[in-house]
Amino acid sequence: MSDLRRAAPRTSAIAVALGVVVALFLLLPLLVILPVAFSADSFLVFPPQEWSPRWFSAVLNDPAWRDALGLSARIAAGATVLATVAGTAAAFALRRLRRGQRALRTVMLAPLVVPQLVLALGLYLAVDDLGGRAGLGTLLVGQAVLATPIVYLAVAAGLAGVDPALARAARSLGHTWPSVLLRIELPLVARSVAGAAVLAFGLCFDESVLAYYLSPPGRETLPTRIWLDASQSASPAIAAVSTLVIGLAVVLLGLSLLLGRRRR
Amino acid sequence: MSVEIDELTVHLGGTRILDGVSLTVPAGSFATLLGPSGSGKTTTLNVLAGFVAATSGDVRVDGEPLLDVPPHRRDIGVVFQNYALFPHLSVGRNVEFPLLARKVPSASRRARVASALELVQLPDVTDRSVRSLSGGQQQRIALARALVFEPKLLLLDEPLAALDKQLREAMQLELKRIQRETGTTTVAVTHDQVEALSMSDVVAIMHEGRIVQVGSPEEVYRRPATRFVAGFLGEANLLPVVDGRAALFGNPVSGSGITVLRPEDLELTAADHPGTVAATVTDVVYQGSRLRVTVTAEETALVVSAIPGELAVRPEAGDTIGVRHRGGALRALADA
Repeated sequence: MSDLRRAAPRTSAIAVALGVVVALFLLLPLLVILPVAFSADSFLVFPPQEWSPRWFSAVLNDPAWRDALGLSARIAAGATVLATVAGTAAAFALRRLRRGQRALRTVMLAPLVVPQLVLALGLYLAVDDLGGRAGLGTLLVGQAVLATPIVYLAVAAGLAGVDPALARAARSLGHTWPSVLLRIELPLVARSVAGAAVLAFGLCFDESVLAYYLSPPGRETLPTRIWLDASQSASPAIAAVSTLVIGLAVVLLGLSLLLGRRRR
Repeated sequence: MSVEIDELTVHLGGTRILDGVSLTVPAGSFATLLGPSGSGKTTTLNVLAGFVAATSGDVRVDGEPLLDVPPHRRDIGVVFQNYALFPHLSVGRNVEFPLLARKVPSASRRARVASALELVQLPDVTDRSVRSLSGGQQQRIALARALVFEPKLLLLDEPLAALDKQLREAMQLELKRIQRETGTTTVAVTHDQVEALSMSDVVAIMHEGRIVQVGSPEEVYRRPATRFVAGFLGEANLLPVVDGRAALFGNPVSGSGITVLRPEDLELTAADHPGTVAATVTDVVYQGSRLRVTVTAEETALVVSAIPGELAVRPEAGDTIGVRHRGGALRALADA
């Protein structure tokens, strides 16, 4: 017992140190981007020689950047709706299965491990085969596919905390299954669903591989626009846009954490 | 409403869980399925509620077939072991929930919720969160919710298992009172024999997917049909029947084989008291209102439950003592 007690602080000190190293490793690139965004220079230079918010106003006033932002937001919103419905439905359905639950769960999570390039190519060919032309609609569906497993995982985790006897009780009290779903089960996981939707939006908003492959020429989502801009001009505009996206991501993550917190 | 269960059989995943269960519960009575875990009692309840499908057999409520009716149209109130109250709804909304499905107008809903809460003696908690209630209160709310729509049948799944001992005894009386007041035919499931004996009009003892004996609490306790029932309902001294009489004591027994003497049917007397069997005390356990004394008579171990105040001397291990039977009709076990 006393040995354990002495060992504990050392373990947690190591854990904290490791955590700091990992966090630095993940965040250092951002720490370079943030100051550059406030640079007054015309080229990407670190550290900036002069400070100014001029690249933010340049980006927000440039129709090309604004269109890209708008398009990203619209497609991400559509994909979020699709993914939230599909992922939530899947979480409810898989919970009811007696057998084959593990196998189907693996299938559900497949989009997380399949290379996005393969998914993009597959979608392109599938749409082509069906006689259509891959475009923004295809991109929306593709992003929804990517986000569905995230929603599924979050809602399934929320559902795990819901006693299965509640649904049976509601049935025995005279309610049909749609009524049980609407009045009992969905309200109990509403926070998980909302948190999952926020995460899904964040994921779709700056998704780049599918966007690069599937958006038609001239219609650029934000990541594609960043990519093109970086390869052409390398101005601090990219840093300013990135800072905006990071800001959005922080807000979304915060929101999702807030929503995911259990009511007591 | 009377309930007739006829040759109910349930197979789940290749295992036979219920094996031809038949039971008639008269209208307005309180029946308990009593048995150890795995005996099939909960499965029987789940078939009645519609949560488990029967493989074969039939159930009729007031003569109407039940098994083809989906759970939400059975009009059966179920109180779950952990109560299954909806945590996101207030007490009032919980109790109101079955009335919403039945499209009861809101004024009448309020009145019925109030009278259901009155029935379970918790009239002032309508707006409380169910999480703020104690276990005993949650139990009452679950009962109010299961009764507010005046169900044909009330099912109780281990209704008292989650309560501590004192509350459990109070709730036994409460359950019985509410059941009598509403006159709702009730089927309860429990593994606790004291609970079953004190609440029920009819006790059905289940073992390995079958009902082994049905009767009034007194019948099943006093005259168990099988060795299993005898042992499950309390301590039992099993004695062979010799020439129509119980060994050692010589009481007449109907039937042959083995008969049961309950520990409280035996009485301790001074040694060599006329008409008693000489025995040696092997163990004495003080249990408050009772003294559990184990004795050996002619190489047969007997358990005697004595009332401490009735004994002249408190027996100690090694004492020689007399044992006699208080009398009464005995019946032999069917399976021994």
